[in-house]
Amino acid sequence: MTGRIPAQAQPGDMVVFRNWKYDGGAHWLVPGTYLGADSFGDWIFQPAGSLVARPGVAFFAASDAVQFLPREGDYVATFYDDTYPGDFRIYIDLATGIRVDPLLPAGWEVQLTDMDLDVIRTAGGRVYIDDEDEFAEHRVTMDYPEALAARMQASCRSLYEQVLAQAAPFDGTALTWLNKGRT
Amino acid sequence: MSFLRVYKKNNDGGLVFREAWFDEDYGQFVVNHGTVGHQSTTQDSKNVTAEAAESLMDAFAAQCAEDGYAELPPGEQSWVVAQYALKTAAGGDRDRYLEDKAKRTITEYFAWRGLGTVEKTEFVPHKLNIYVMAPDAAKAVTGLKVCLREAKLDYTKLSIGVAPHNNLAAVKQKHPLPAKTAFSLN
Repeated sequence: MTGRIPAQAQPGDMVVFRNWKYDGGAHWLVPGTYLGADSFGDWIFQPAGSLVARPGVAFFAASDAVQFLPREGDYVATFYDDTYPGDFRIYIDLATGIRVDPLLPAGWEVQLTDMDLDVIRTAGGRVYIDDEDEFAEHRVTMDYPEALAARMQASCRSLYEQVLAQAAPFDGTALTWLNKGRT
Repeated sequence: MSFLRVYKKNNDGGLVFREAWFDEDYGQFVVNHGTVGHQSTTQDSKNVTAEAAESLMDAFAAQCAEDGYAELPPGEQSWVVAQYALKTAAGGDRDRYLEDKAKRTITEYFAWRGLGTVEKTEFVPHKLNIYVMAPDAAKAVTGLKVCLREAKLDYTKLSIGVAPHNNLAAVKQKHPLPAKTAFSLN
């Protein structure tokens, strides 16, 4: 089973998510290790202690998380469990230009452009779309093409519905991968 | 812009990764040196002076070393040399400007992409050489072509050569191709 990450990827390979803003500015850099792929896409473990950085801010991840790179679609998602001190359990970043490159000396680099539109599920089960104001602002200031902006909004609405309905892979599938990362 | 990218082998033999940088133009620094496993306090990251950044970077490097992270050994990296043909043997004011602007352009573009670091620049007769240490030579060559063309920095006078870290004399031209003459550093 392969997703966007090439079939020769092995569990344990380093995978670095390098996020950009649409205007070319650097955004979050998130390291992790490859777990494997299923029919939905690729799963990457981000252990507690990983240094997550962007210009101006960096922190060590407070708890384990698993990142999901879908086989297709304009997003990446991060899943947490109850060890996470914050309220998020699912955090979906709408994104474009998703690309996977080999990363020397070993591993893979996922490049993507964060479109500042998010779908979130909280620990209490509330599902909402976040940062619509930021998306609206950047749509103008960063000059998002109209067709791309419309596609992002449509994808966002669809993902919101899927998360709300707890459709796979937003049905707990991620927790199996999260636990796999811990073993 | 100073920049640090470090790796560590985890218990399974896989590599893990940290990256941090200071952007002089914006006075922004990425640093964190708390205890791994706990969300620690982010340092004052804005309006950081170059001197303060240096000490923050040193502290970050020390924390990484303590946690078992190290930079990729030079032997596992390559030299990628951006070379400009100059009109005069010694280079004039315009060439000094080109040196400064190209160095800044490459440094910033490469740092945010983890492509490598500018290690030195030099003028040799009729040439300006900019030496970049890169973990992935092919990506660095592509990166140089993109950033120097976008910055409109005399792209038609640019050549790029690649050499193993321990053997600069073995430098081979990678841009433009095919090479009309052998790539020479002097």
